[in-house]
Amino acid sequence: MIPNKIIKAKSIVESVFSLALGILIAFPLFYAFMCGFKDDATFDSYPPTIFPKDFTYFDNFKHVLFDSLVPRFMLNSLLIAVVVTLVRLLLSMFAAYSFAFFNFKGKNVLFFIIIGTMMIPTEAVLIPNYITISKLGLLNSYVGIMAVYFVSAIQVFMFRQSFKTISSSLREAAFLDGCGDLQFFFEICIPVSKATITALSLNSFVAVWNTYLWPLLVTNRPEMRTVQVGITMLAADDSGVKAPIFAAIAIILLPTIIIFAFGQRNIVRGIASGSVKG
Amino acid sequence: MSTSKSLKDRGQIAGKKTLGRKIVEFQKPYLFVLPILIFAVAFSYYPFIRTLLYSLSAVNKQGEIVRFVGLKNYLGIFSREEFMNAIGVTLEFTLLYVPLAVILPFTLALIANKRKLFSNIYQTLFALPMAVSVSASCYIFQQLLHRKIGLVNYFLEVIGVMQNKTNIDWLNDKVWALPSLSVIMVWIHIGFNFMLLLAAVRNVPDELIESANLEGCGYWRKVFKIVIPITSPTIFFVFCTQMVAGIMMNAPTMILTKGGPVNSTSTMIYYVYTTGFRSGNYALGSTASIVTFLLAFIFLMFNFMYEKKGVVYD
Repeated sequence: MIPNKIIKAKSIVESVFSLALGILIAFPLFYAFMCGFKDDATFDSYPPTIFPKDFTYFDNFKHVLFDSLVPRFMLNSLLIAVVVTLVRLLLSMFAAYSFAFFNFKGKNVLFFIIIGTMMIPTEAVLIPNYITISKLGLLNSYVGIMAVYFVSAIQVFMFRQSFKTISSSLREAAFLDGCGDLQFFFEICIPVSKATITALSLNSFVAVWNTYLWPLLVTNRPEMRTVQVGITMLAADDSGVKAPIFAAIAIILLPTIIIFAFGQRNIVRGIASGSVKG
Repeated sequence: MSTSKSLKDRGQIAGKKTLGRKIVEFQKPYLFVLPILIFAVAFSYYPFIRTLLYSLSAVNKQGEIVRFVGLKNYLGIFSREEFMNAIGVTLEFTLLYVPLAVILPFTLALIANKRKLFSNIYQTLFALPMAVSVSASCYIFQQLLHRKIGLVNYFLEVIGVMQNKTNIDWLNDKVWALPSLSVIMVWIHIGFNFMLLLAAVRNVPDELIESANLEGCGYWRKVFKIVIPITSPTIFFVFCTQMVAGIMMNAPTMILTKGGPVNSTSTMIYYVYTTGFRSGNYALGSTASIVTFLLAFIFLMFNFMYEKKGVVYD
């Protein structure tokens, strides 16, 4: 009996330790939310405090929501993240469909060309991309911000793995029954890959929502800024980082955190199912 | 007559259709790949070749190549003290960053793998930093690391590690700025790497762990003999992506330190930004881009050379 008790006690200690570690890792996030409720005096006080004086101090949030461009920045980012995520998924799935089900001349070369984009980091090709977008007259436009994000090699790779789990005899049988490629794609492939789709679209939304350098380069009109660039402008305007910035951070964190709280386990499952050998 | 003619017509139409269908069938696989291919070429390969050409040319402010200059830009850039400094800073940053960026999330994945009391909660907490953007993370840490009113200095003072008089100004100190940025970057990337590694650790077959248990293997022995070898492809993937992320690091520098103090955080991509965009010197910026790319490429090649030794695929 005693060893059992020791094991149980050990397990509880481990759980509590893990929980404490989790709280420590998530602490900066929690702290940002707390700072959003602080008045300037509390914010600048020494010794520093974690909690605000009271949680009914909404001036920072009011300032951000009504006297700044943050709502517009959020709308921009939301539009960009949603459209990029949808286009990415569709382009990757189409390509993956071809790589998974067809045999054609140059298949390996084309696959290599698409996977090869992973070797060219966007940071290394900023200058010509900027010039291209500028020559197309797309500076300060949504398309200009979005266009460089449409290709996701890792998505093509993951969807190909996922589609390969569909047996080709099922496809042949469906085609004998008069099913076409598009119908098969939308009615079989997409439902089968639900877990992968969920994981990759959540990941893609968060990644695009969070991009910084490219949107900074191709926009200079304040109303075209994305949130990530926008809050740095806020910091520059208000001469230094002050409590309102944290209210803005808290507001822009909400969408991604909500996505996370609900989608996090799906993401792990999606990654796991995508990496199954096939 | 008329019926036979119409039959003949029908035959011809059917024949055309099959020919048409054949063309469609032949083109179909390409049509599915075409859309992504257009964007891959337009925004990855074309600009890469363009960057390469710029680095070998004199370029005007409109981005037009004026003349070919051979390796002159490269010879020029390596004699610039600022760029050599940027290479050094980038290497130092990568060295500080990559080990932490792989080991910490892997440890978290091992912790979260066991299902226990609260395990759902702390699994979510470990992944949560992924939801926070670079710029938001930067401002949060700027506040936490503030010299006077930051919680980090306050905490160090309370536990007695540091006296008030010698408070460190983490982000404005020549010695501490780069390590601070690497800790911030580790935090920014910890969530996603944790999830990748957790998925891999969860995929380790239970039978292997159970048979190791029967043989009386200790926990760490199981980790080193079973879990690490089986998850090594994912660990390798994380290692490679983080190495590239380290070499390409720019946003924390741009937001928090502007390359300072005394250029101690001026990374290579930050150099690309300041020369290529702020000063409009496209040729020099492109040369710096290519050198950064080559650095990442060489590092990756090294990784792949050693991959066969350490990574187990079954």
